[in-house]
Amino acid sequence: MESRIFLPPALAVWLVNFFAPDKQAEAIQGDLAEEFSRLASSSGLATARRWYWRQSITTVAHLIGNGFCAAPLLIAGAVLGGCLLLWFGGDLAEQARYYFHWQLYAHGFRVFRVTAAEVQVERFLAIMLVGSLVALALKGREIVTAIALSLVCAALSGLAYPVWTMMHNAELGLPVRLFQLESSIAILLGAAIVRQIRLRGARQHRTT
Amino acid sequence: MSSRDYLGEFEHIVILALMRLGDTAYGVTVRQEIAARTERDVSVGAIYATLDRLETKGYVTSRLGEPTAERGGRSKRFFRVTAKGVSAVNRTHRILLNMSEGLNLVGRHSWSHASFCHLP
Repeated sequence: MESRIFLPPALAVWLVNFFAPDKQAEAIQGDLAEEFSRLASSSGLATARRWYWRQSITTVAHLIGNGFCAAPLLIAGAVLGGCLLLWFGGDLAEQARYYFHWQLYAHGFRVFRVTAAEVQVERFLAIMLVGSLVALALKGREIVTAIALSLVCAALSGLAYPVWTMMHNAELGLPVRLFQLESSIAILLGAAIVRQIRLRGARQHRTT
Repeated sequence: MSSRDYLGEFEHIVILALMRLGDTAYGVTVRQEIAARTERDVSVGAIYATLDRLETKGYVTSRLGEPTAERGGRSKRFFRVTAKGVSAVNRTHRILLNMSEGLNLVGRHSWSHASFCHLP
């Protein structure tokens, strides 16, 4: 009898791979694939797909939790380093930006004007770079560290909000308040890029 | 022995499952063994997070098996309890026994001192 090959949901497979430590990724994916095939044969593909999604989400949650607990000091150090980079690096980036724009102006690019949106994009890219650097420093714990740093940033933004409203005696609208989460998003994005590049490198290494 | 040299509840269950399964202990069989004996449907992630912790503590070791087609060409990771892990199980059992001694437990489980003490 010919046995059918069932494929699990690609997005769920990617999600688990993205969060799983390199050492465990193969075994976890293999176990999930084995049970998925068995379940798809016995209970149908729809049931197996639901099971796979449920397992993937709980697995990712456990991997994140375990990532924090396994090396709390290392992650705390990386988060502290990231905060210092954001704090001092922000000033440096600002100075570099002004210097760059001044040079452009001095060399005859007189039509060049810096818009608020451009400043915002540059700031976003600078924070993304910090997220990438933190991820580069902690191989195998890129995403967990980035989540920790982005949570710290979000908490600091949350704390800063009441202070700002008291000082300026004004309320910020919800879109502006959500916009304050841009630092957290930029950090996660920077780390995700590093993680994805590393995963691709590991895959290529396995195939060769 | 350090003051933190003991097993948590789920670590304890996972190590006992590994001891029961012997050479066939890997993620899927451990999950099935726990589900069959405790009626708890645990996730693959919970098993691996615990096994990772136990491996870091030196209570279990692991090795990769051969890749198989039904696993999409991926290998199994087989786990084995170390002597240190067996000692930790024994110690945890002794602690539980000492703590429950003399208590009028409802249902009177078939716990006996003899069943714990065959371990080193």
